[in-house]
Amino acid sequence: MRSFTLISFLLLTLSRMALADGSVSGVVVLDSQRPPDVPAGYRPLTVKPIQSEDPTPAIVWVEKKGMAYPKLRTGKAVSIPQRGYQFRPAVLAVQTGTAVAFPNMDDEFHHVCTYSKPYLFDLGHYRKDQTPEKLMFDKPGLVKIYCEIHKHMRCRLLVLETPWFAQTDSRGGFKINGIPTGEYEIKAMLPSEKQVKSTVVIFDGKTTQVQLSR
Amino acid sequence: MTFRARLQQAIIGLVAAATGGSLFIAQRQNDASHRGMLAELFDQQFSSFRRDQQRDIELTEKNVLRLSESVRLFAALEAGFEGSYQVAKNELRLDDFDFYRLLDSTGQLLDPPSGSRADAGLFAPSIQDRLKQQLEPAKPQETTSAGYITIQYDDSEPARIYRVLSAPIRNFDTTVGALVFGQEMQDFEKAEDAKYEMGRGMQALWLDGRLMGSTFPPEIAGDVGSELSADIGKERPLNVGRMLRIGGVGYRYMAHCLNPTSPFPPAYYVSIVSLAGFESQQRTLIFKIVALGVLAILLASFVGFIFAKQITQPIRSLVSATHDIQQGNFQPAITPGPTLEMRHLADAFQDMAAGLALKDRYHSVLSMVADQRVAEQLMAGKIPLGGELRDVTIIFCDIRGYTALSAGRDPREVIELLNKHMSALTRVVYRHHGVINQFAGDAIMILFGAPMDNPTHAADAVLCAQEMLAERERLNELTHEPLGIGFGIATGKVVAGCLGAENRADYTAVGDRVNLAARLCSVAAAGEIVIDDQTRAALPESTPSTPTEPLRLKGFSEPIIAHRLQV
Repeated sequence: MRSFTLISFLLLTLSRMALADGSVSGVVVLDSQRPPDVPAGYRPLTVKPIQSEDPTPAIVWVEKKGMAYPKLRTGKAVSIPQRGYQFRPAVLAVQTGTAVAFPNMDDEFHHVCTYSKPYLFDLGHYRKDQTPEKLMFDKPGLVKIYCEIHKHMRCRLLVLETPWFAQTDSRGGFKINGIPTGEYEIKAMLPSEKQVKSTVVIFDGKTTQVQLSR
Repeated sequence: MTFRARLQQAIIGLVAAATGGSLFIAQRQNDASHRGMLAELFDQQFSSFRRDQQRDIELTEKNVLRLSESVRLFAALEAGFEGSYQVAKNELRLDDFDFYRLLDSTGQLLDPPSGSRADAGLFAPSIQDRLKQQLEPAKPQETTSAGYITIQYDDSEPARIYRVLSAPIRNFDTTVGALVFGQEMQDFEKAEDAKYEMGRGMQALWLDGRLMGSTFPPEIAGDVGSELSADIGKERPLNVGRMLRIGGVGYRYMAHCLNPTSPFPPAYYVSIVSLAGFESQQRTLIFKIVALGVLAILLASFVGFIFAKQITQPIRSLVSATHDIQQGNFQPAITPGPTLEMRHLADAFQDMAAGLALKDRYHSVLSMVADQRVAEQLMAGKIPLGGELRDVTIIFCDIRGYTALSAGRDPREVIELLNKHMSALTRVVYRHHGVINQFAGDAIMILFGAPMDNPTHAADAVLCAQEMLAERERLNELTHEPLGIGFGIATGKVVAGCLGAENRADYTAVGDRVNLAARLCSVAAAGEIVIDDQTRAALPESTPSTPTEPLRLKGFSEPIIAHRLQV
């Protein structure tokens, strides 16, 4: 009984410590998407029909110059499958040091490559049953990933140093939790790949509201 | 102007006009057909030029198509990857090109890194700059653009021409750069004959104000180049054509724009044909036509001359024949012409001459049997049938002792004698305006004052009688045939005219004065002139005469006092 109480007290304390960080939430004014998928006149030969992309949100993150970020989100490998002849999701953020896998869920060959500096990789053509190696993204930047076979397929992978990032919903709303108090820069990459930024102050246990727009 | 001259003029005029007309038409047609032929030639040459380039162009198009599919190249260029040249080479069969270059989205030419320079086209640094300059218009566009550039490797060689095609590297609506392919253009074929055969044109490419093409004769390249530049100007017309003269020889050039909508400077395919052959042909044609024309004129003039003679000669002969007729020769010599019409004319003329001759004979016969003046008046139609009352003087003159004279003589002799006598006296009568009415055997009846008026008829009659007398005296001396004549003269109103039937009449006078004159004549002795009162009254007072005793004359109830003229 006493150990139970101790454990629960510790847990409460820890959680209390956890809840010592603040959050930020708000709305990002979204702009128009990238080129529409499957435009008129584009008719690649595919076994099954091409499906539409997932909706493209904006990505919001909080950063501070010179801060040493905790590696909070590098644990789990991220998977960006190709299904329905699209990368799903089409836009994603990962923290530096995350491994990403690109499984092929379609019945056809797919291909993954990027030339975005500082990365240069080409996984070659592979089918559903082949498992290409996972790719490690350890430098920050925007990585544009293409499939050579299907011209319309794109993926934007935003590699960030900060662990405090989130995708907005379809209306641009977001919430990022667990940010230590302080003053930060808050940036957002819009669906058009343009960036907007602002500053934000995080308070302990409070949620700061912010609105980002161009 | 003579007929012949007119004819010559007309002939010359017509032939000259015909020659001129045919010359004009021939030239025009020749010119038009030549122009048509040149246009066709140009089209043919241009098509063949295009065909030659076709393989290269197709290759380029295929590559461009593939290029538009290449995601890798797009991704590489988008990221500014240094190995983009390698990526490009991997993606496409770029060995078929002489060089290729990449441009970024701003149009900046990316120099190939040293590793890929050999594949991308090796050029000396000086050439690299020139290349960069010329490829400046290759900035990424919406569509592919074609252009032509020149590269001079060596000053001793002519510049080489490259066809460049620039294609945007894009993915849907995002353009990240452009790829430029360069292919060296095949040089133009040399014309078989180095000089100016009419069948072939010299070909060249006009670029940037200059004509390029090693088969093009340099002596005319400069002039043609500047003319073309003037024609092309700023607007880049699709087709240009013009004729010009260099060094006295005519040339015609036609040019077709190879890249009308391209951002690259305009390049024209030019074909030039020398018109020397055509012009000399044209000159020969002109010469031939003119020579033919001159020959035609000469021939036609000659023929015209001959035919004119066929007309003018007979006409002249007829003209001289009319002169002959005027002179009284009614059978002149006529040379009839060889033509039918002239022969008809000559025949008609001769008929007319015969008619005139007949008329003339009638006239002379009439004059012979009637006094000339009566004859004239008769022919003029001035003597109506029926007669008119006239104031006249009548002379009767006969030969004394005629009967005795004629007896015992040969009648022919007598007639001859009489004729001589009558001729002589008739001449006198004529001189005094008398009209011999008739010869009645040896007697002559003479009228004065008819058929034409004569105010001094009485005086004339007396004078006439006196002169007749004198004439007879002279003749008597001359012929040793002494004849005595007597005169009876009476004056007064008579009826004078054509007495008789309508178509057979005599011109004469009737009345008691006529009878009186006749009676007085029979009273007169040889050499005597017996006149009546009225005649005497008409004479001047001073005229010497002696009255006669009252005469008892047949046909007159009262005795008549007459007068004997004293000689």
